[in-house]
Amino acid sequence: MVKLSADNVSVAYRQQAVLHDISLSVSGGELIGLLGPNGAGKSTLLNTLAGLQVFSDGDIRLSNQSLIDYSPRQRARLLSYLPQSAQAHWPMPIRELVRLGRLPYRQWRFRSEDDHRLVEQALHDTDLLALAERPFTELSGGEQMRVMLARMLATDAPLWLADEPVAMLDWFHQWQAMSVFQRHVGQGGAVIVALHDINLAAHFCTRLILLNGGRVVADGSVEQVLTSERFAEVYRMQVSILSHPAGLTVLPERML
Amino acid sequence: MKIWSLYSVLIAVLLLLSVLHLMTGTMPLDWSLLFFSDGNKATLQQIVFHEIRLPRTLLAASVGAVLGISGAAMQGLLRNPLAEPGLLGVSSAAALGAVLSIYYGGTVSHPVVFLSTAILGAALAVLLMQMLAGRNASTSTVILAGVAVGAVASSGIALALNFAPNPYATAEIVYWLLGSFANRTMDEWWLAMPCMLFGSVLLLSRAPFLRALTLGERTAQSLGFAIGRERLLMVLAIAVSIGAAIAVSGAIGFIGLLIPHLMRPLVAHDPGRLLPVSALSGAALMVAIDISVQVLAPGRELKLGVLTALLGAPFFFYLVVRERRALW
Repeated sequence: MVKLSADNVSVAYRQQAVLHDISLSVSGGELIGLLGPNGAGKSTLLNTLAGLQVFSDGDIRLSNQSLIDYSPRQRARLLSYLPQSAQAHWPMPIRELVRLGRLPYRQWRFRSEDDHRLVEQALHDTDLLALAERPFTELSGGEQMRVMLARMLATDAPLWLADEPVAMLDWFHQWQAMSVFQRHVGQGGAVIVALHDINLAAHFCTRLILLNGGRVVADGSVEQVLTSERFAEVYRMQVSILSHPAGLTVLPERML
Repeated sequence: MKIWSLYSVLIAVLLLLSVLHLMTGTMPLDWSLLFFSDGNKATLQQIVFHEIRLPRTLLAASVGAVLGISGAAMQGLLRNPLAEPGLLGVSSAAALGAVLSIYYGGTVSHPVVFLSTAILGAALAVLLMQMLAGRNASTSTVILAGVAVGAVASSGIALALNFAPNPYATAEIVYWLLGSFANRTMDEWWLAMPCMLFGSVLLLSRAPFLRALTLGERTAQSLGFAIGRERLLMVLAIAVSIGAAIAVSGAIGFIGLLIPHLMRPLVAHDPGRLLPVSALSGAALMVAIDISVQVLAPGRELKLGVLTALLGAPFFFYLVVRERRALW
């Protein structure tokens, strides 16, 4: 079972601290929603957990080995990462772009049954099969986002770190993406996903982590994290928290 | 399967053009005399073939291949269709290295010196470019740094011309800068070829990295590529192959810009597959251009760099306009 844990990790850009003493851990079976206002440090945290950002203190361990001790290739097989507003720089066909997700396994020949199955599955899970031959540039912003998501799915790593993967998607595809995360978690995988849609997070996530000013201000179940006091403090919003059979719903009332 | 038919077409075109190139020149070649008989007439034919025609064809093809593949590699590395060794100062710096060697040694200096100073120039340019741009530089910073390096190299060349020891040296530098494959020997090809081959093979081996870079540097990193190491290898490969090519041919621009552009749609914009395809088509184009410079102005040869610039500059205009339309 995959496990990633950060222990007192701090990150600074040009001596400006961006993350302070972050400690958290994620294990198989958890779908963690990473919440927080703009500039809270969500992207930096995901970058750091993915091993792409130098951190000054603390340690990040992936399955009981320090993250920095992994070779890039080994790490890429255990952990896949989807950056915010990812782009393709050349108008390659969608299927070819999704195949790039297999690079941690095969760099030259794209032949094995697994490769094909995983790529087709990823295209199916993001509703892109009909668009698979089209060049990237002909797609809409939301469709492009789904291509990037499919690329991450195709890697088939146990741990997924996704930075606002559903921000540009329509309702149906948001739910579709979150359902794929849920299925992955059900099969023993782990996901950390940065989200702005609180209600989407409340509906799908098994656990929420709330960041503010580079610190973890809350880490726990949906009910523990989403309280009206926290919304007032962190988001400067007055909200009503409603209980509904389909899950907890946060209704914004006014700005504070 | 489609990719293999593309390869076969390109190889066939290259072979055909190479044979045409071998037959181009003041003396008509008689193949039967060349291969199947002895005697004085045959000896003359053989000398012309081995000493003049063959090195010229081999040089044109290999320099064209290097210019094509380096252009494709640089565009992939910087993820910018306007990147090219010529535009980013690498060619100018290689030329400066070679010019300094002409300047101090004239034609008497050994070709090895000439070759090494050109490679050194190219390597310094790329290293300086990287230093200027910084470790995690954005594409635009790298391009700015390249332009700055190119400006330094051009001013160095101007300085060398200004203080040339005699008018002959000036003329030699100017003619050399315009680029040509005339009067090259087999020795020069044997000298430059290993460097060009090494650089090109190294570039070809980086194809998966270029493919991953399509998704941006962070994603490429997350897909298991050590970005710093990969970039350094590519830069080294570009410097060695371009330096060697420039040393034997002079500065020839625009092939590295034109070829990857024309070929990209044929490989579905895949920056990895573009490398071998650009090498083959760059070789074919260079051979074709070298045929035309001999045919267009027999006796008083048109310089290669002049013709490629005449062809390339309008193409560059077109690219800029198209980019502008695509972006805004």
